[in-house]
Amino acid sequence: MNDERLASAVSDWLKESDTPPRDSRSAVAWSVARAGKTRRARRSWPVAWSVGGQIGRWRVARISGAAVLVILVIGAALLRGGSTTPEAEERLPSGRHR
Amino acid sequence: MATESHPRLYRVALGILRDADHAEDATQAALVDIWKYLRRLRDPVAYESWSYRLLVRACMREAKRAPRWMPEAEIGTRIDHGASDALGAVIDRDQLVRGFRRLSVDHRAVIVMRYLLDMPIEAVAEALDIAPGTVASRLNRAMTALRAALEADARSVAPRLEPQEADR
Repeated sequence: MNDERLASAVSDWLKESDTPPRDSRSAVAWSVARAGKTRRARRSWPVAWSVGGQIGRWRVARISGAAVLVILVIGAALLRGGSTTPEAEERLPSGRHR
Repeated sequence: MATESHPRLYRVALGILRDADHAEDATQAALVDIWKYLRRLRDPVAYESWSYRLLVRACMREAKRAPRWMPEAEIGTRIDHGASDALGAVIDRDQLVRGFRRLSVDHRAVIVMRYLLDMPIEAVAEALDIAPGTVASRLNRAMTALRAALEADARSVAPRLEPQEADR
């Protein structure tokens, strides 16, 4: 089989099997939505309602903004509760001063 | 822009990947890339070839992700090329599909752009960001590999067909 004949066979086959996309509009809408989501994920966490993905150079596991707030509140509470002031150290466990 | 580009890109993706679902995924990935990197495109005239470049990359990613075996629905029509042919009188479309699948995505992309879109060598070179000479040699290697695959396929099919023919 010479080159031209093979090229012609391939061309015919490719053109015969050429079919349009099933639903172009929904595919485009899906792509645009996905692209928008990717852009939102790039923003810093106070703007986008989730943290993670690509943050600067680092790739971080995705976590929702609400979860971050909960972690911050619990962390702050633990820090305040666990802190020891000089007065607290002076106090005996029963609450009486030495 | 996306609405206009989608059918054009899908057509090429389907030509390269030969599977509607994978072609859809690759097209969507390419559209997302276009959306993300559009600011980097300096010359708006080059949009079409640039979008093909992103699509071919998306097809490569998709081909890596896809399993080696994929169901094939394209069975049937036969293309007659005359009895004097060295390969045989008829090339089965199914053989073409199998032969095409053995090619790399690079080779498939060149074949699809050249023979499906009828793009000149220079346009293919611009789309793939390679030299025209590279396109020509890649196309030549692709067709040689396809011919070899067809011949190997014909050899493996012929002994199986002979007893059936004898029964008739």
